Amino acid sequence: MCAQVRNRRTNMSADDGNPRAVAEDIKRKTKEVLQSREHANNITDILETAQSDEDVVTAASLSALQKIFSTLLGRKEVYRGKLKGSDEELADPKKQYSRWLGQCYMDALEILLHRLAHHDNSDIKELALLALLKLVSAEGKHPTSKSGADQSNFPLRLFQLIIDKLMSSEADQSAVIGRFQDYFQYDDIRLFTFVSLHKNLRTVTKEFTRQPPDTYLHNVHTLLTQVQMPGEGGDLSNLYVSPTDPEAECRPKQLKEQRRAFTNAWLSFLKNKLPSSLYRQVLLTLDQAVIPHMSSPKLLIDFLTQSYNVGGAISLLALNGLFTLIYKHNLDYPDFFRKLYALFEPSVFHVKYTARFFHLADVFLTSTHIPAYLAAAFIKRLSRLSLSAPVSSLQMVLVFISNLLRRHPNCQVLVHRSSGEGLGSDPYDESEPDPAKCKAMDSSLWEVKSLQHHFHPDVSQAAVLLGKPLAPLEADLSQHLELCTSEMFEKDLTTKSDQVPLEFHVPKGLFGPKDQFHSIWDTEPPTKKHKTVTS
Amino acid sequence: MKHKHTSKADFVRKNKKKAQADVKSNPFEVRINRQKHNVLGKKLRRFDKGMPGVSRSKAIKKRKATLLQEYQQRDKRNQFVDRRLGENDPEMTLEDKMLQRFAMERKTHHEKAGAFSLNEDEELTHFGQSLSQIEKFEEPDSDSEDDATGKLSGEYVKEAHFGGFLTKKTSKDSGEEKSDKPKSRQEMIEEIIAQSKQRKHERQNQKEQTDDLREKLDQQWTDQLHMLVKKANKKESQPKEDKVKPEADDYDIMVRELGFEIKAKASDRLKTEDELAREEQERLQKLEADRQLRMKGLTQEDIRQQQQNRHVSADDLDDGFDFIRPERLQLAYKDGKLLLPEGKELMPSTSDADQKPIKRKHHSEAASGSEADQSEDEDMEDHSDEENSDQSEGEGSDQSEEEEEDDDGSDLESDRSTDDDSQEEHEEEGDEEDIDKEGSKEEVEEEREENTKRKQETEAMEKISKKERKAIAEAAKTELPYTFRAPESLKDLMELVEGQSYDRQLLIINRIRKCHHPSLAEGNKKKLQNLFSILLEYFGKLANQSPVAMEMIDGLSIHLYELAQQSPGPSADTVQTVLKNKYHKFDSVCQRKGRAVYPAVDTLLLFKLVSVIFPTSDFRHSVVTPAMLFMAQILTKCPVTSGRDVACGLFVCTLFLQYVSLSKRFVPEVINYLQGLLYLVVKTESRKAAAAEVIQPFKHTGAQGNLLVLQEPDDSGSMSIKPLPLDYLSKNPAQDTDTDDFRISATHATLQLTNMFANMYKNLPAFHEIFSPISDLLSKHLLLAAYPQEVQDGRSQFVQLMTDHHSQATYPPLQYEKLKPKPLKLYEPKFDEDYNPERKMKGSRKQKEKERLLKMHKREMKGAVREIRKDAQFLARQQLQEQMDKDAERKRKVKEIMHHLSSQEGECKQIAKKKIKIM
Repeated sequence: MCAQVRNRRTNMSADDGNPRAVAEDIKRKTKEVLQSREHANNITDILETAQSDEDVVTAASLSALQKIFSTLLGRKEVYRGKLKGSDEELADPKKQYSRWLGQCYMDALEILLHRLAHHDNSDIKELALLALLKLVSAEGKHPTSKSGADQSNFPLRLFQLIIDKLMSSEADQSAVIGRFQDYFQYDDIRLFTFVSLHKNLRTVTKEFTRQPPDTYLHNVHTLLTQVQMPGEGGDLSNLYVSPTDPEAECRPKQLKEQRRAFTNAWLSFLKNKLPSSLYRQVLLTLDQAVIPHMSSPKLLIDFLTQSYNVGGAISLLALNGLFTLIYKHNLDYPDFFRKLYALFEPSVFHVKYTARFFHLADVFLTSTHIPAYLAAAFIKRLSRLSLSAPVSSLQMVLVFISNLLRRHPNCQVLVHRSSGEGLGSDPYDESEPDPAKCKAMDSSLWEVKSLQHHFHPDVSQAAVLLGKPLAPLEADLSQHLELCTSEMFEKDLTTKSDQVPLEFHVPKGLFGPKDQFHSIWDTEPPTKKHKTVTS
Repeated sequence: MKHKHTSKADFVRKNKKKAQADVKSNPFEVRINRQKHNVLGKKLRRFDKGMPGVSRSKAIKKRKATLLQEYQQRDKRNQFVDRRLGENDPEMTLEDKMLQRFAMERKTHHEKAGAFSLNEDEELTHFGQSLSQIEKFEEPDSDSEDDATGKLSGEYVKEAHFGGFLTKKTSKDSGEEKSDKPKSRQEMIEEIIAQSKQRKHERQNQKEQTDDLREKLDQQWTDQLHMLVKKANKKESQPKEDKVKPEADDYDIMVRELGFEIKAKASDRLKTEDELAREEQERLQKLEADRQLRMKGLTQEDIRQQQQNRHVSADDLDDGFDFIRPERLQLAYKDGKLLLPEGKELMPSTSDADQKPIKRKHHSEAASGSEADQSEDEDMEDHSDEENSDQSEGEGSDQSEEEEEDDDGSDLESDRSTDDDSQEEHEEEGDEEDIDKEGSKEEVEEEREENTKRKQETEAMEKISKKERKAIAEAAKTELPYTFRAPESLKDLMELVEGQSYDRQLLIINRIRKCHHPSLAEGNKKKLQNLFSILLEYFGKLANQSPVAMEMIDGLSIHLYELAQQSPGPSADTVQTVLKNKYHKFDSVCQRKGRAVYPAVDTLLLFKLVSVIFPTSDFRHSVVTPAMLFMAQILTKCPVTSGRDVACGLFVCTLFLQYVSLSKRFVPEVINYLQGLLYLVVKTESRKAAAAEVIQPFKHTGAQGNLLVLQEPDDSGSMSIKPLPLDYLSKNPAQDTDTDDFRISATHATLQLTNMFANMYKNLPAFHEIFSPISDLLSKHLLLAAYPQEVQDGRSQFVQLMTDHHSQATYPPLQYEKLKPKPLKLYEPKFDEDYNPERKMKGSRKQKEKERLLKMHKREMKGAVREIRKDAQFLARQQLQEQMDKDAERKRKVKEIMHHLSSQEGECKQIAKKKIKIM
């Protein structure tokens, strides 16, 4: 019975046109190879089919290769050493067979790696990755004497190859990396990923003398951000490849090692010149995802100060990481406030990270030990900026100013100067970069006074509040930080008075005769086609 | 004094009758708070009288029943419930209880015994009828009142009683009843009623006869009396005639004249608004009817003739000689237009144009039964819903209502009303004339054919030229109906106004508004509100057309304004929703991309409309404030990439100028925007230097490029500057914006706006700081030498303003606003001028309700606290009692023991003594 079925299958394999049939055939061949050595030649067939263009066939042969070699590796039939050997070894048919198998294995790996790096279909890529990882596990289980030099038995060479292929400089590998993410729960995989990545980064940077391509950097970043680092005191004994002696201390089990590898990988990544979108992304996540896991965060200082000096949005974002360093790692940063002062420019209200920036600025200026002149400079600067700020940020700015005034009672001369004569002009020097020399303390907040006439009622009210003695309690800035125009719009719509007042001037048309529109716009209706009869 | 006391006691006793029934009355228990002054009509308060002893004992009794029980049961898990019948009823006597229990016992016993009884349902019958049923008819004739004696007639008794066994025997031979059956109860009663009626009738007849007799007698008597009186009169009348009348002198005449002179004539009262509205509606209806007539080319005369035509006399020979019989034409309307069968012309007949006014008068009389009437009826049905409900209608009430609503606008209102009036007037005339012109072309063609066709038939009768008549018909055809139903949606409205010229569309809207004036019917206000939203929609639709139909939009805006005046709240809601939708659309793009495109013309014009309908100078306004936010958002979020964008931006800036022109509010967005536009005017090469601060939506580099930079600066010096046409706002303007002409105009407009805003903000304390970027730009980088003189003037004007201001400006140091000193506390009593003790308190109903509830709560709280306190007292008393009982018991026992011991001791001593004695 069984034979009949098999016969039929062989018959079917005769016509190569049908990829499904071929896949079936591959399955059968795999079974045969694993059953007896007689069919070992089938491996060459499978190696051939693995290079097929047909996705189904490729997939089937890839999984077949994985199955065959993980079993054969288990049987220790595959020779994994240097392929040149003496003649007497060649004479022995058993050894010859195993050498031949070794060669096949190398071919198979090559094919798999090739598929991983260059294939259009991400499913095939994933399949290749999974197959390779299975082989990693198989190699780890049955180490050759050489690869087991350190206790972990981890086949580092193969793994390095995988990472190299994964970090392609041509194709976006994010889908495959996403698949890879599942393996980061294994502590050894995580460690060796960082190690190999570090090595890879070094070679690649050497290779591309000026700057590695963006896709490569994106791939690296994706991989780096996928990794979840273990916390302090976490259990690090979840290994993908179990070592020979499970009790022994090996590299993956040490948090220090993990952190060092992590730091190295990150630093070598950050050394590259990043494209601006990636740069922003990195800066955004740096303080939350990277700094806590670094062996010594101070190594980031160079990177962060550089970014801070770039200016614009990048500076704003670098502020985040810098703050963490200053706050938690005792970084002393000269001219910090001067640079912060420089960051307050009109465009600050129009970038994405306004809320974050003001939140941090508020934190920096929370300290009451800041000299009054500095606070005054910030206040004056902000109020000057408020003259061109959009409606949505104005409330936040006004609250910010009022909070600063509360914290620094000395600065209240800005809103209330009991004596003094009228000045010819504003003593505050806007173009002065040094907050100490901008004479903010001599000035007053005429800008806020102007804002009392702002068209939006909420802003106007907030500005009016600043014209009165301040209430002692600080206002909550956080509820104004994220305020956007649509929220204000909704709020204005909902505030409904019972009686809606109406215009009492009776219109003569859409554009009345006394409109301001007349000097600028031509609002006359086109010549009338039908004359209205007037009596 | 004593007497008074007793009377009060009596009063209390009377009132407390019920309480007295419960508690045996004892006058000593009643306690009354003596009043110092007896005030008439003053109600006795609750605490002024009462029976404290009684109530206290009642309370204690109640507590004993409830609280004490609980107290005694406090540590017990189970309790004894007495479920014996009547055991818990104190009103039952022992006997009653026993009786009830016995009954209960019997009942249960009986139920148990009868559970298997088979005879239970047996029914006793008599003559096949259930006895229980018969028993119900014991007195079948109890309601018969006719019997004066109150007794039953023997006959009846014979028949009815005892199952009628006596009559049954006789019935066979009596022959009255052929059937063997005894009379049923129903029949008997009917018989009795019939008899009584007959008797009544007889009595009445008798009475009538006597009355007749009496009348006859009276007649005879009066006849004779007349004769008697005549004789007497003849005797007396003779001497009276001889007397001479006294002459009336002037004075008398005068007096009489004065007396009879009409003192004051009752004039017609002034018409109320409703009446005016009704009249207006009637007028419109009449016009409508007239219009329909004219549409058919009929006049009043025709109708009369037709009537005659149709009449077929009895002498009709039926030889085929007939006037042309008008075909019955089913008149139907669709969307206000007459539906006519193909190639069919309406029946013409003679009429006279001069008779028009008379026609109208006669219309109603003449129309009866005529064909016109029929068709009209049908037509009326179309409008019936309006006409039935809308009893009246019109402009007059329209005005007056508006006047009511809007006091300050009254004089303006009247202006408008006269406008409306005149408009009304030439609506009619204008329409006809319009149509004359329109129709004239077709006329020429049709005329020829028809003239030949009908000439022979009606020539003789014709008094008016064919042409004229045709004109009327045509006019009527194209003329608008006077009443419209209110459109439900924009589609409805479009059906009404489709294909009409803008003037006529406005007229239609006007008529719709009049037909549904709120004073005419209940739901009209709602309809008008709906109309407002539809018109707003239409407004948006029109605005998006290119070119923009300003004429129509102007008219619509006036309508929208007036509708909004009628119902401000709903209109504001409508505008709000429209704004909201537009904003959400805009904002979602903004959220997705971080920037947006300039909205379409309808949005821009909507902003303008908002400023027409609502006051823009309010500090906070539920429509205007969101609109301003929206506009500000447009100015910050929309990048300028084309000429249209520049035009839109300028338009929004102008809108802002108008919005804040009265309130002089500060709009940073506009200043930024103007600065950005001026930056775009600067030549690309020199921009680097000028790039001081360009804020979103403008960028230092980008697609904006050469948008506003002159391409051929040499030619442009002499170009004339025209105001920007609104056409630039539309998405694909007819005029090209990629010309120097546009650039110069836009630059000029920008400078003009800058100047206007600068003049407006002159008094802001930070004026210089606000405008310094623009001033830098204009004074250093934008010399505009190649531009026309007007543009250069604009620039120099601004620069001049800035320098002037700079020289005069003072910056006084800021100070806190001076607060009013707090007034000292006054100890004088505060008098309420119109204090009214009757009214408990002032305040709204809500407040009063709250006050009432608070009071109730307080009272209840007090009561509850008192109750709790009393409970505690009761329990304490109970505990003390228990303790005392226990102590007494103990004392008693100790005493007993001591007694016992002492007696023992005594005995012992006695025995000892005895022993001693013995020894």
